[in-house]
Amino acid sequence: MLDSKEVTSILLISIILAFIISLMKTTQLFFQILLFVFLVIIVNIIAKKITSYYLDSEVKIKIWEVYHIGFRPWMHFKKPFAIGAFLPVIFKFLSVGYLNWMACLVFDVKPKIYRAAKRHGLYAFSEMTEAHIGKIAAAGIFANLIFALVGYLTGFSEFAKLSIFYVAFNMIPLSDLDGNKIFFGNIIQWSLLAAITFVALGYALLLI
Amino acid sequence: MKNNFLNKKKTTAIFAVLALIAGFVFFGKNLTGNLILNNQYSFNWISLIALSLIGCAIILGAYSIKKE
Repeated sequence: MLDSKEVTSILLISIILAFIISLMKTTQLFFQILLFVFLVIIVNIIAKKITSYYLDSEVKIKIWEVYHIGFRPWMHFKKPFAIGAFLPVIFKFLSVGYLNWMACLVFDVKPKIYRAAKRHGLYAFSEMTEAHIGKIAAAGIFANLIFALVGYLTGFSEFAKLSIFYVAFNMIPLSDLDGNKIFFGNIIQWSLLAAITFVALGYALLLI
Repeated sequence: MKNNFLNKKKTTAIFAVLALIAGFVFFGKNLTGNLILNNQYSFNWISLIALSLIGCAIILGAYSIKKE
């Protein structure tokens, strides 16, 4: 289900986020945040993996990487830069400890060999469509929102807050993030999820 | 995709109204009325969220009233 590269990426990002959020105030707080962040990421990934299975494709999780830095062809790094591992640290410093950037993991979708043999709608596609990639990304976001609600109702308000922040940052339609995939897959679906996310985020900032 | 209940116009219309109401509620949280001596930078994350919610409501509303 998860290969070693994916597991390494998830663990690395969980540790970075836990370190950034807790700022190592106490060891207990660090491990508590680490567990919550890990659970949030795992919920998101499992939802995506299940959805991709039903859409005859395979999802590979990786750290968010940036290659191009401009519109011109020569404006790029020599190698893809793992911005997902550095952005939380940069944001923490720039916002003087106020903002915790949490969108660090992205995914690649590969269609399975027998996908062309099955019909999806009117036409048979061997390649993944934008709509299907958007659906996979939306499943992860939706699962996190459901778990945030469950966490809040069962008294794990910190878990709920982290879930909502994770979703809010991932919903930004930028680069390779989930928000961009949903946005270009189906803008109505993005608007619906964004509306739910913003309400949850406002609630989390004001009340939780 | 079109059969998805999230894409039905009734659903999007309901969410548009809810997003609009939530947007105005969040905007209202920043209206204290005590502005005379307030010389601080007035940017607030809640205002940004409220603005984004109204943006989402506009997109959903436009889709809901659009003819096929």
